[in-house]
Amino acid sequence: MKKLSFLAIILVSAISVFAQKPAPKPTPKVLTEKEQKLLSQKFQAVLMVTKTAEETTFWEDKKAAVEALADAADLLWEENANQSAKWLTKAWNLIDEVPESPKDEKMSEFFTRSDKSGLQATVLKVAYKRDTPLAEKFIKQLTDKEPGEKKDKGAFDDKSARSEQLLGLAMQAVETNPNLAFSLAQRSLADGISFTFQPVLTSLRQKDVNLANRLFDLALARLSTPDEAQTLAGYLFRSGFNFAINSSGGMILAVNPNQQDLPPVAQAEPNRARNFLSAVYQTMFTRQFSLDTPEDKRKAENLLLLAGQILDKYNIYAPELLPPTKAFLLQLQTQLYPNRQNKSSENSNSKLRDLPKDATKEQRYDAMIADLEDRANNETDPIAKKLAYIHAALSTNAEDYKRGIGIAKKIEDEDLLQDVVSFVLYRAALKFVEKKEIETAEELAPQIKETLRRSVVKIAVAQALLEPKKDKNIEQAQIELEKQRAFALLNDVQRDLQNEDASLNLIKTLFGTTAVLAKFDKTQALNSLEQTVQMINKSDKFNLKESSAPKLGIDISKTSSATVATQRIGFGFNNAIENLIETDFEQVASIVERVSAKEIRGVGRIETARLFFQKNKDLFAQIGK
Amino acid sequence: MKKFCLGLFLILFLALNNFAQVKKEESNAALENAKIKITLLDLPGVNLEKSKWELAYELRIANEKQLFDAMTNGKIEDLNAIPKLGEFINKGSFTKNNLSNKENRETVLTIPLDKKTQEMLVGDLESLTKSANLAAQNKNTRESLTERQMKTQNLVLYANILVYDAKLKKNIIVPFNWILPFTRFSHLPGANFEMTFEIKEGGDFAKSVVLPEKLKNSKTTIIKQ
Repeated sequence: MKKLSFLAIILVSAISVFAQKPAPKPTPKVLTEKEQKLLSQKFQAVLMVTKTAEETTFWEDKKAAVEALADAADLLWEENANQSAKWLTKAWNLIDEVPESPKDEKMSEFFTRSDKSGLQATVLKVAYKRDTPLAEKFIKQLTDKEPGEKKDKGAFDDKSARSEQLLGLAMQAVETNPNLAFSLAQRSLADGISFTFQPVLTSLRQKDVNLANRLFDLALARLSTPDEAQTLAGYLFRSGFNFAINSSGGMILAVNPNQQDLPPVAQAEPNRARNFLSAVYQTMFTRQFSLDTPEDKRKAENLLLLAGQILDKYNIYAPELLPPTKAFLLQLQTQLYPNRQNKSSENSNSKLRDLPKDATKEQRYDAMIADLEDRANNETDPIAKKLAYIHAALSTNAEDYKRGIGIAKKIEDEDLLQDVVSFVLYRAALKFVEKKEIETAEELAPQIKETLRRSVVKIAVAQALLEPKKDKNIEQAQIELEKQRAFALLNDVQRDLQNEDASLNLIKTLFGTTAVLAKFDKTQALNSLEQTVQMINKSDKFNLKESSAPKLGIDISKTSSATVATQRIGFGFNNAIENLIETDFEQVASIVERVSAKEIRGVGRIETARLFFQKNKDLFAQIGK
Repeated sequence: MKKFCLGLFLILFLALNNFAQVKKEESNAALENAKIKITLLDLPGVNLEKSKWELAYELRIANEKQLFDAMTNGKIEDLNAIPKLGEFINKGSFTKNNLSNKENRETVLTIPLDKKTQEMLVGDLESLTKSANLAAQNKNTRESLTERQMKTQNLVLYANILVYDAKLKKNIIVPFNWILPFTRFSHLPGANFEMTFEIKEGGDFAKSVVLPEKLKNSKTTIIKQ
């Protein structure tokens, strides 16, 4: 009974969404059957979103609840702005209840991003898009808060939780509202010049040079530490780059690939470059410092790193400061490393080092792999030896898989050996797909013993076979043949995956299968989607908004996944339903309802509705007319 | 009476002296080996035939000054850095299969210590006693404390454990590097240490060094894979 009354409330609120919309004047236009069906589907989509937003109160996963409320508000704002504003406010207030997720140990040396900052940016983005006064209200709450001291900071963390939030939002706003981005970034300076300040400044310059110059000048006026200087130096001299010293005293680098090829700002702003170099010299290179504690030493290493980065710039923009800066650098170096030895003499037998200067790229590659293999051969610690062989095998080029396998076969551990061989073949096959050498990839696929890797390769091959042909001379018969080959491959995948244990990677692979199947056999695709939902129900959690490729690297090699060619197939829920939503909306919605975890089901409903609205945007506009 | 008193004093003195000699010999004898017990507490695929663990280790000895220098050079966080800290004592490796049998989830490494290492450890113990006596008399100076600190010996275990869990179908590397201040464990006969580790569902691992009772809380680190 309770359930029934709850449903009634949801229905009433869904209906009221329409009731509150200003009623259009009755028109004599008679809707076609197709239009009537579309409106009925729209009603269902609105109901799905409303129902989900109302249910978030009962969700244990508060992070998912905040995201769902923000998404729901954005999707239905035009239908009912009042209700949507309430959802958005509810989302904003709920952020305080989101627990911080554990740190990613692999990345914590570089970044320790907070979930709360990301969620605040998500809610604020919708607020700025839909209701600026509401967004300003949220921002005021944010800036009135304490800065929020960050503990155990990564080298590239922002100065405070507050500056992380303000700059995250500025980054999102810069494209559509540069003035807002300026204002938010300026406010972040209250806690110092943060790492994210550089990308904001660079993006702002692309939109409005004057605003970027004003922001730069404001930052320069409060410059005080080497890490702050690194941020501004990157902006002026090498866009997208930021250097720091890690806990072991080594140099680490963060690169923003979207900004790394821009021309240096200093060329266009030589006076600003000069002001910056003078400020750094005055505030940092004229001071005495001690090296008594590890912290002192870290600071000095950061200073040395900075001096090394910008020394040649003094020659161009502030030549009178070059000699004293050089003297400072030398003194600091001697103080920090009094007994520095030449490390290059450590490895006495190096084929790479013995190469002539005019050696070709291929010769260098050969020598490098030979060196790595030799190092593994000479290692006496049995575990280090295995790791060294893995490193050498993975250092081979993806297409040079035979050499990689040859090295891997020296690993004296059958399970590890098979894992590495399977990975090297998987990586090679995907590379061949990328290079359109489909036959070679197809030949390699059956040799991959690990099921998920083999399946991903088969999906990629099937996808490549189904791609529209540029060559118009290809006969229809051949196209049909390739379709059949793709179908057979996907059938293999479905059969193989039936026996696999539920895992995130399995679910992603199933979504990938569905996405490709949906291009030519919708019935099979719906079956596959249903199979995927069954798998989701067997696992603890899954984020239906995630569409990245499955992580099928070698467990004990952190970087192995990064050496795999990126696939254009999406492996997320959205990719799976993209080609089904217009033709089979009801079926997709019905399959989503079979997800047992309420949070995952809710996200599924919202994503289904979002895609439905997106795909039918033009049709709704036509009906509106 | 005087004669009796003198005789008793001599006897007592001799007895005490003998006792001290015996203690010192016992102590030296006990220091001939370092014993390190390592236990794999649990892993998801413990009952599966293909699950196994392999350990490769190197034991070294380093005094506090060497550790301090390494720390100020930022090398202490990276125990895999080359050159390794201190002086070499021993190295070895083994693999254990059939992990459903509890005996195969634990091992005791008995590592012989050479004369020089034994003397370093005995020196450490004597320096500790001397420092404790000075402290009791309130005569410890900053210099004597610094001197004592620099003489403190640490056994440094460089090790990696490679686990294959047949249930997770995963190879997992557990870095198993420990710095073991010798005198913290000196109430035990000889150089004895005990560590544990376990693999959790999902492939995370936890590792601990079991500290003596007086230090109670063991140090546990949980690493997410």
